[in-house]
Amino acid sequence: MEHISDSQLNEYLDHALPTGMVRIMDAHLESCDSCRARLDELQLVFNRLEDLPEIRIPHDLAPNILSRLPQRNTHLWTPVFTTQVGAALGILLWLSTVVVRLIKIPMISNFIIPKFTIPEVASLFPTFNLHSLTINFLFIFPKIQFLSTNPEENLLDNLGLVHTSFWFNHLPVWQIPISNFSLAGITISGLLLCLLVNAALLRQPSTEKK
Amino acid sequence: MSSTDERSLARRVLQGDRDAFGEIVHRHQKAVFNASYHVLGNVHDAEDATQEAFIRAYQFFDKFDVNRPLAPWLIRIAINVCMNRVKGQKSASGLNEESTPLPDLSPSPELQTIIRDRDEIVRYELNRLPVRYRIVIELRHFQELSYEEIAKELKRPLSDIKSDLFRARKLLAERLKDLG
Repeated sequence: MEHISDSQLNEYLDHALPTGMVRIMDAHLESCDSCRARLDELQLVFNRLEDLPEIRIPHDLAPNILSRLPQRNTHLWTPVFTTQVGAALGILLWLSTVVVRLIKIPMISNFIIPKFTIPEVASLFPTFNLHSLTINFLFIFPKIQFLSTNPEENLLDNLGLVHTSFWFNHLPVWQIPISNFSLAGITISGLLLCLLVNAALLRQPSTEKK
Repeated sequence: MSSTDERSLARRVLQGDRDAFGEIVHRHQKAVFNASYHVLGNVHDAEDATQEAFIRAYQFFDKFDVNRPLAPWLIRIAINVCMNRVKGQKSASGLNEESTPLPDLSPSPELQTIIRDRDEIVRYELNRLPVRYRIVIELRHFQELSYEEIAKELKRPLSDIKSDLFRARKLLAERLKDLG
């Protein structure tokens, strides 16, 4: 074997060589004084560094570090915050199902199946028997019994009914019935949303213990 | 110090407990200071770097995996702080370490009598190495990282890491061989 290279000697001392190579090097080092001397020289560096004692810190750095601690970056989505958001969303969902159950018939029928007066376009959409759907609704909210998806039949002066039409009179018509329940739902949802946003904004400073 | 103990401290820090972080500083400041000293070569800068490293660690504590030991994480932050400081100093002074020849700072006989302690001579010689050599020595010999881990840590090719490490050792070997 030729003399061992510097990098092989380094890797030998770092235990970074495969076992087979180590055996070959061991055998060579047994018989080669030159390589042995180079290895010893390098080993001395390892020993000196290993024996180097730790330096003592001139003084305790903790008080100064603690007095300079900034705000810590915190994850917004901690388990606690996620649970809070989940609970709030759950309440929102529950409220919305209550509201939708109460008003779903006119809302969904109007929302999903916009009434078109252009026959070509209207034929693209599935049709419902809107009258049968609204019958149930009439028992709950007699006030909006005149609700209809037909823009021409809309009674805009009917209380509790918001009518918005887009683009042209022929195009989709959204009729959103307003009831005490839906108003309460919207208000509570809005309040919950405000609370959530507030919680998110106030979260970072509130995690710090002074 | 048990790892459970350290994990519980880390969890308290994550909940915003500054006292727990104070305890972590007490426990690890010596190791972080020593790593900084090995790279920067003087007590004053090492002290500043140690403080900066702990402050950064606190700021980004949510990135720390509480199931892992703290010391290596803190020391790596400290080494990054040191590297940034060295880069800042170099760009401020307009020096380019690659092209600047090392000054001949061999200890004179007078100096050698002053630096009696062998360990101080070793430190002195370590400090004379270029910074990038000191960093690889710190990571390999004091933090006991593998070549691959150092390359990953410093985001440099493995061949460069080996080359720097072997050259650093060669320089040290030449300078320390008379020390016996």
